[in-house]
Amino acid sequence: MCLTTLATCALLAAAPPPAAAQALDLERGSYVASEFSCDTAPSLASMDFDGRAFITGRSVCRLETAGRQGDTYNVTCMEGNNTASRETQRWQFKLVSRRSFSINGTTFRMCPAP
Amino acid sequence: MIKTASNAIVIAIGVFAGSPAHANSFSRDAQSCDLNQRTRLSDLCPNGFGMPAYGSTQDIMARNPNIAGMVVDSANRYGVDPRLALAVSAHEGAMSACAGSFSGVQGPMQLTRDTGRGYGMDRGIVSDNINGGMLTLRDAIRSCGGDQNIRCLADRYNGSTESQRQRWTSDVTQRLASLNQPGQAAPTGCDGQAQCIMGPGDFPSGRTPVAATPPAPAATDVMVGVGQV
Repeated sequence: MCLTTLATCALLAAAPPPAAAQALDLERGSYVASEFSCDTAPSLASMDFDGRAFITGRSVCRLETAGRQGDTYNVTCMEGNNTASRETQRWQFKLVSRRSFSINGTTFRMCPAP
Repeated sequence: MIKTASNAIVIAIGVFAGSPAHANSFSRDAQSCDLNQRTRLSDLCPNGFGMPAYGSTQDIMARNPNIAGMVVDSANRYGVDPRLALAVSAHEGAMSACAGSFSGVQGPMQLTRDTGRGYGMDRGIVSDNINGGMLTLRDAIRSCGGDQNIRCLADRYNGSTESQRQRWTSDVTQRLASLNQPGQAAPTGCDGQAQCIMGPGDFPSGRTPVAATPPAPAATDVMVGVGQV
């Protein structure tokens, strides 16, 4: 039910649904899988969150609200801005805290800025 | 300067091959050590792709002697220092066929589909994944004016965020130093031959396969009865 003005209601209804990552209460920064050191974690265990997307290696991945089932999301990954390289993954994504999350059972923790 | 270090590299796969410590379901070697094989990664990975076990480069080579040998062969083919190639593959996908990132990048060199295509390689094939990664590394070395500036190689090969490039630099530098320690053994390439783990009763020379069952007696065999010897 809309409790604000009619104009605001109309505006909200017309707005496109935000990508799920935009709504995440997760700090921007660099994350590594918890069993690795912040200094030398391998590429597979490293991920950055820029407030909108997760970046690992050359790939930029965004959680999508469409197709979400509980903690499981469709995730669109692209190499940079190359839409031809788009691939869809399924992540079971859980926010552990504002500085920690897990993907498919692997827990990532935040590392200090370099 | 690009080094051709194959002469200085010592055969050690046989020494390492018996210790598959810390492997997990995403740690998977190729079935043979032949850069001409066209085995698909997916055929080797019934459990899919994920984060393999890491550890020291020596441990990783011990778990994956075929891929380690293919990495060395590919490095020699394209004029890359084999030890640098091993260090990069250890950092990228732990030399595992089933290494997979959460973004979908796969294989021992973590080659993206587009980068592979750019070199005419199918990143879903073990040998192409290695060769495509090696060509990427070769071009990074050329672009950096040699292979001494690991940070420059990180910028070209990894191409990710600053923090990830710094980790790539630190880890590859440490792995390379470990492989370059005096007396430190690293594998030679296998020149298309599968690496075999020798066991009791195996002959150390020749590559005659051992049959699973003994052959039937031939007509010319002399049959000796029980108690006659």
